[in-house]
Amino acid sequence: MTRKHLTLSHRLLMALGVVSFLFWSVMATLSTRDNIREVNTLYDVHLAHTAKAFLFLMDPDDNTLQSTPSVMPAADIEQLLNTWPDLASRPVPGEAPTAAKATASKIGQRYGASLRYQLWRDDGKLLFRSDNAPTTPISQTLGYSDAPDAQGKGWRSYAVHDNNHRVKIIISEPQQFRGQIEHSMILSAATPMALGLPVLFLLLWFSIWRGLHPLAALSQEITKRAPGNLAPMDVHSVPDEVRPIVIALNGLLERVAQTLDNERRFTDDAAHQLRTPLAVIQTQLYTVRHTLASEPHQQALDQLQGSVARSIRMVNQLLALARLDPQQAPPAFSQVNLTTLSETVCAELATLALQRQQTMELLAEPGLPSVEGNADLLSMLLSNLLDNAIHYTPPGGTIHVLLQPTRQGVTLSVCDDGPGITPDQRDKVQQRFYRLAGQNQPGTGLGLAICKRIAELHHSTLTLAEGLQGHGLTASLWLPTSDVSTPKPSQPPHH
Amino acid sequence: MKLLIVEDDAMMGASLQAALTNAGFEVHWLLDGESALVALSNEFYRAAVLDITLPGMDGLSLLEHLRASGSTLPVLMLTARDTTRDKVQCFDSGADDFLVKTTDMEELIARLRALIRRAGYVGRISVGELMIDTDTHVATQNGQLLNLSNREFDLLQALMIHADKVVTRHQLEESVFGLSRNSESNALEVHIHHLRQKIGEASLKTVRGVGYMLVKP
Repeated sequence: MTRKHLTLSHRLLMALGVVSFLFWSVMATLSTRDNIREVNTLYDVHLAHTAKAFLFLMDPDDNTLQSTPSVMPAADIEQLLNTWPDLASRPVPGEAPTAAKATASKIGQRYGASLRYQLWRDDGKLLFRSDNAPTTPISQTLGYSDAPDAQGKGWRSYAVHDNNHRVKIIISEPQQFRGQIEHSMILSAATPMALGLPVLFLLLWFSIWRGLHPLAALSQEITKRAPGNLAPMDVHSVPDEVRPIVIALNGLLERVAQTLDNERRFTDDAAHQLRTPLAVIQTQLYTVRHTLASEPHQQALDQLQGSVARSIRMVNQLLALARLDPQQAPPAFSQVNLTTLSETVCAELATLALQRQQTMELLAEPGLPSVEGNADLLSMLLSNLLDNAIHYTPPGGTIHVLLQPTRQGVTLSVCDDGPGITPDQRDKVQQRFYRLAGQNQPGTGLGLAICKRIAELHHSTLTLAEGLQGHGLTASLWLPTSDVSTPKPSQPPHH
Repeated sequence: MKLLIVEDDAMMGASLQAALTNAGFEVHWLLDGESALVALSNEFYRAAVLDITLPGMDGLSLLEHLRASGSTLPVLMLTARDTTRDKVQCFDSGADDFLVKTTDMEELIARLRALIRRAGYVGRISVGELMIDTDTHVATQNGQLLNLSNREFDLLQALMIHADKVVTRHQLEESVFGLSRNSESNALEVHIHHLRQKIGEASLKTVRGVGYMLVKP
């Protein structure tokens, strides 16, 4: 999972970024190369032009041809050349970029002065040269040539032979000129790229974000779904590319819903099939005990009744646990008035406590806020906790049910002064079918597992601690206050 | 008191019939919804005990047919199902009470008696030496007339109907003051105190924070 942070938008941004960058670079390189070639041609033409103009101005006659070689400063030659109208006013033709044009004209101001001039007679005598030109021929061949001078500086030369005067004129121009222009042309091509790339990336990022918006919306819709919502998602509102995913997802949702439904139906059928025979046994037992039983049989019948009651309890708790399975749809939550709920549950179990001469008491702080939860499950939780307390607390003991406001919620606790559970056993007793050693109470070992599961379904934990007066057990659960602060809703009475 | 039981499980039906006959009811047991519907239109029953799962017309449809015909017969649904959804369905179809099949026979019998009483059949309730007549509003203890206020009479009636069960303070307040009760006041405690003075301390137990219970001797 080394690439888990590489999101789709990052991949797209990188791919599009690299492609755009390469494309732009190639285009810029090609067009710059073309421009440079054109400028070079232009300069060559210019060089040839200057050579011809120079020859025309010099116009050596026979006398001059016989005289000793003369040397002239290059700057003077330029002034001379500038009087030649055609050359001075000549703009740089063609499609060369403006920047290159500007550079060319700037260089042009001292252009003539930078050149080297040589005029050779056909017999090999140097007739004329500019003061910066050597006394040896700059170029041996006619036409264009490139050669470095004694200092290693590069020069572009042009040599032309004039048949009328039987002379050869050589003009050479520093390579550096063209280098400067090339440099500035490359720079002018690269600058917009350097400045434009971040903008391009920003635009790309925005386009990708816009383009992937349906995906983000879909993922948000899935995240927002209630955990139990297995209804198919809308296929028509998503783009074509995403539709197969949504269709596959809907298929999956349907299968999950079907599985859950099967599971629920199995639990319901099992409930029906397990309960009916037990109910028959219980009803028959009732009749037998009330009609036929003689004293010696009565004890056996009482024990039978106890066993049937225990089996019924076991079946009920197993079914309850099966329904609380994480695979099943989560319970619906609403605002629960814990005071009314506790009152109802306590009333149901108080009869049993009174039979065992126990003192049961409900201590609820007045005006408690309602909590967020499932009333049926919370009733089952309290009922299980109270049932445990009544069974494990010896006759004459005390059982307190406390409702206290705590941390934007309410803590429900059931405390007793019975034998309690040692701290090292407190986690284990919440496991299914775990029973403490040396218990003679007819428990199922499922009560606390059910309570634990109900607590989990309420995103809370069941805490077991010491009970009343330093012994016994306290089981408590914290529940958050419901967000909507509507006045206490009345709780339907429980049967 | 004639009862109708509709239950398709032969063993369950037979044992229910035996147990309820033993409890003093005259029991008519049928196996399916269609014949039950016929019986209900011809016979006069005090109450009916229906199963949900029946061959042909199920218990809920039977109940809906019965209610559609304008009958107010007290109906208790006795079923192996126990989810909230099942309960809601039953009450929505017009059931008066709902019990899971594995509930104690004693509770089934007590609830049936309460249903019949609520339907106005029995005007007299007796618990131990106490007796009240809801028609004449007369309460007696050991044959001696008790001088009770209206509120105290309602309170005693609620406690006697649910004798040996703890009745919550809310339930008592509702039956004495109606729904417009003020739960923070101690008016209920005052009435209980007066009632205790008249019927004796021993028979009325308090479960603090929860409610009160009238003990059957």
